Amino acid sequence: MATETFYYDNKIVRNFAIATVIWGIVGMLVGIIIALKLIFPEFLGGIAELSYGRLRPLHTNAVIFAFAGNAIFLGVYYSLQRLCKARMWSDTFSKINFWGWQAIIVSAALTLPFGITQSKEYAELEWPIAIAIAVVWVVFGVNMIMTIYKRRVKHMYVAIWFYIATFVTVAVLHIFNNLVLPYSFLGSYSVYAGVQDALVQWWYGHNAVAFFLTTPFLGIMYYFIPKAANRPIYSYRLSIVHFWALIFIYIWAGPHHLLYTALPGWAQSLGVVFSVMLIAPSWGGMINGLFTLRGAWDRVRKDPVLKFMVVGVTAYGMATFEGPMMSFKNVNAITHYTDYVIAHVHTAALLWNGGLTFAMLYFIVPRIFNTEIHSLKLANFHFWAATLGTVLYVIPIYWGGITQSLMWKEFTDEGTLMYPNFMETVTHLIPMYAARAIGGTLYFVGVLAGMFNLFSTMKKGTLTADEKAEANRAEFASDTSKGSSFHRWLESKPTQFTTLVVIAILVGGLVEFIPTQLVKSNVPTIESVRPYTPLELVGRDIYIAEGCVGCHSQMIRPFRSETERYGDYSKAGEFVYDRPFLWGSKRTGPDLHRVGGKYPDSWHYMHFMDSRSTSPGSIMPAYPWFQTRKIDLELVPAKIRTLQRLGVPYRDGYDEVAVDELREQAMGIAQGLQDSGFDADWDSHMVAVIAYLQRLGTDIKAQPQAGTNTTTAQPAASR
Amino acid sequence: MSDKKIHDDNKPNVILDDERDLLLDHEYDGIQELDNAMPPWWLYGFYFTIALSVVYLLYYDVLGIGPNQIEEYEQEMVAAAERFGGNEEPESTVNYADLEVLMDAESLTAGRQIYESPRNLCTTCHGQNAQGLVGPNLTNNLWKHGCDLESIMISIKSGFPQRGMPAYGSGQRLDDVQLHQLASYIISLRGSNPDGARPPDMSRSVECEI
Repeated sequence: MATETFYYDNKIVRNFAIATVIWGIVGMLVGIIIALKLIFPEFLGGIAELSYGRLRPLHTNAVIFAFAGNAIFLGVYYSLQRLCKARMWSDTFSKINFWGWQAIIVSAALTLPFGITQSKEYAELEWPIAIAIAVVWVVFGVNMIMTIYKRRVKHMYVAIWFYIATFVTVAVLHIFNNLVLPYSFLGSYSVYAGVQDALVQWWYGHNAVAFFLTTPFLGIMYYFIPKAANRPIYSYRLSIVHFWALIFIYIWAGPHHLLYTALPGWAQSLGVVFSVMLIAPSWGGMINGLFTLRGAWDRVRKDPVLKFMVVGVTAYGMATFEGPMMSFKNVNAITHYTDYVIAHVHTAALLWNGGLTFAMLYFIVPRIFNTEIHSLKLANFHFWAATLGTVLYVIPIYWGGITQSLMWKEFTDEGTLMYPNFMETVTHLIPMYAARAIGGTLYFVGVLAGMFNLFSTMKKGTLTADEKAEANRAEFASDTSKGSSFHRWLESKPTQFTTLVVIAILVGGLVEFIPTQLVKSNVPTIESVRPYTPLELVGRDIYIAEGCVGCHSQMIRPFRSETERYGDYSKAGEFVYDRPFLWGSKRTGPDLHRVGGKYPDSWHYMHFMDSRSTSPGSIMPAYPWFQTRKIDLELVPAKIRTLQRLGVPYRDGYDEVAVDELREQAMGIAQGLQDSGFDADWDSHMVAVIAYLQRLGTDIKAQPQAGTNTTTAQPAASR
Repeated sequence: MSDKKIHDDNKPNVILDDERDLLLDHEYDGIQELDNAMPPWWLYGFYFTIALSVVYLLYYDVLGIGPNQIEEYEQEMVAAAERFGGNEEPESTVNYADLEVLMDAESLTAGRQIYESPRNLCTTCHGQNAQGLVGPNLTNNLWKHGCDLESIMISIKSGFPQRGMPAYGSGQRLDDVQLHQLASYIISLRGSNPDGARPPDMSRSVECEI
């Protein structure tokens, strides 16, 4: 039988390695900038494109899709070729995957700071970029699947199972969450509204964590831990059980991002229980990773690859225990909307995703450059900076998150809010934000050291662009492994395997969506809720572009501490015209769902020009450009027509009079502001945003409701 | 291309003595697999969470025994109403018209503390020195809703929600003594001529005649 000789493509691996490191630096630097903005709101102030609300999605997108994304490709392109004993199926596809992905990242950096966004978290990129993502992702998937088909090893190793699940699920998630109807080249409205949009978004958002930041990294763990430790995988059976359990259960858990919101109770309960059931499948991965190191722990002390792996896998175990705990409704009532969640995700992101990525880089780079690591000492420094940096990052904001929550909820002995002024809860947190920025900077310094170390290693060695390998295809046919089990058979059948994965990941989503979409009782209609006026709609689009949702929720939960502060709790029927929904996930500032009518227009004007003039201590940036930038009136008719097509009941021909109505409403607001001595043009962003804010949450007040406690209609609150 | 490799990735796996029987004949790029049983604590933990989930869904959703979030909220509101006497404004025991403007330093300091406290939010609209921001200047002789002690106390207490000032300025509720101190402090500022005083709205203001 002839032994075949072939060559692994290391050049593509090298390219992804460089991209991972560079984008990691960029994404984390943006993170440090926005962390500083929370302490020094004037830092880089006055520049619209660098405001907090616009940079925050740039940070999340850069670290998730640019840093972790390139790391996934790095891991897959390196390990898949070796696990399949085959070169990647198509060098062209590899190149399209690489350059296409980098182009998408650049286009993200060129749109998000300019306020071009769909607003849904981690799915902010507007529809043309979303389409490009889908195309490049499919190119990646085809390249991967075809490589699997022409493999020279009969069975697919567990890492490949995770890669397949990653490809399939991310494709499904991305496509369904990005279904929008465009009104212009870079503008669109979600096909889902309100509650449905929230459900789809968090099905996506949660599973972006699951299938972009978890499953591919588990695959990476399954390849690189045994390779680096030179030990066999602890338990094949555990691999099987935790793999299928993980991908089946994960997809259901999205609603835990929406507990105590207007999402129907049954969907919330599914989110709770499937999150709790996730503990074991997640820990299965951790156990299999850590137990594989049995007998090799002495090497963990010396080898930075294993060190990063062990801390990463341990952080994964902590985060996947903490996540289900935060999904219990009574815990969620405390942690949700607070910085606790930010601490939770950074434990996982910095150590699990970051740790595994750097472990992989320290493993791969010396190998493909056929040399030793430039400096073991520097790699150890990187490890300690990463670990301590993360600890210093998360502890202050875990603390801060709990503090924030307790302050929101505290009542005096007389039964009124202890901190009716939201500002007190903000100013109290600033020292913790400062400590967090120090921790983050330490982590960043470690990454800079890592970059220097890796690039020096590359310089020292020579890239083996095409690495020679040999395999005997005959073993493929004659491999009669004793596994006569069904699963062993399945591991040799990529088509059947992938089909089963698709089924496993679709069930949960379908069970949750179909009833929410079709059963009317899930979103009870409220008669008095009407579509936004054209001016309010434009104001809403500005609110979206500015990323206000990054700090302000629009979802008052049914807690006494919230209805006292903000007014009546939010009802599902109030959001039927919200495309996209803007419930938010973090309250650095107060909830705004019932801000309408609470302050005079002039208050908002002053607050936007200088938030500290009306709210001393505020860390909200100033928006001086609201005064100078003009509304694009030409887009208004197209926006109205697009919404009509989506079912919003504007009367026929309304698009033709929309601009006139907009002008009339805007003139009224502008006149009022001018009477108060403020300089406001009717067609400025300022007027539109104020119109939107003054509308928020007011429709329901027009509705006479029997049995409603009248005192809750008057919010007793704050800013 | 150099055939000399610094990293030998094809060293045989380290297999411990007690593992030899567990080694499967799986091999992927040098990675082998053991056939260890799933740890029982892990497996039974998994079963436990599944059982817990079934009970949870039965309790809260299928059988509807546990309260849903709106019922929870209503219970919370009832409990608060029982404890604090609801949201009703406590009956005033004092006739404001009978009160005199307080002049003593102690009361005025107390009034000032209330005015400046972040709990009461006066400053956010009327300014640190009552010079007026979004809300009117409180230091001149021009008033919209009456400049006597009683009128000011009532204005603070009930607010003017239609014009942007919620009751107590959306801050904490004040008792009659605090209200008295605050209004006296505001009166004491009259004529203080702070910097940046907001010009009066002559269409609605009335000269104070006390």
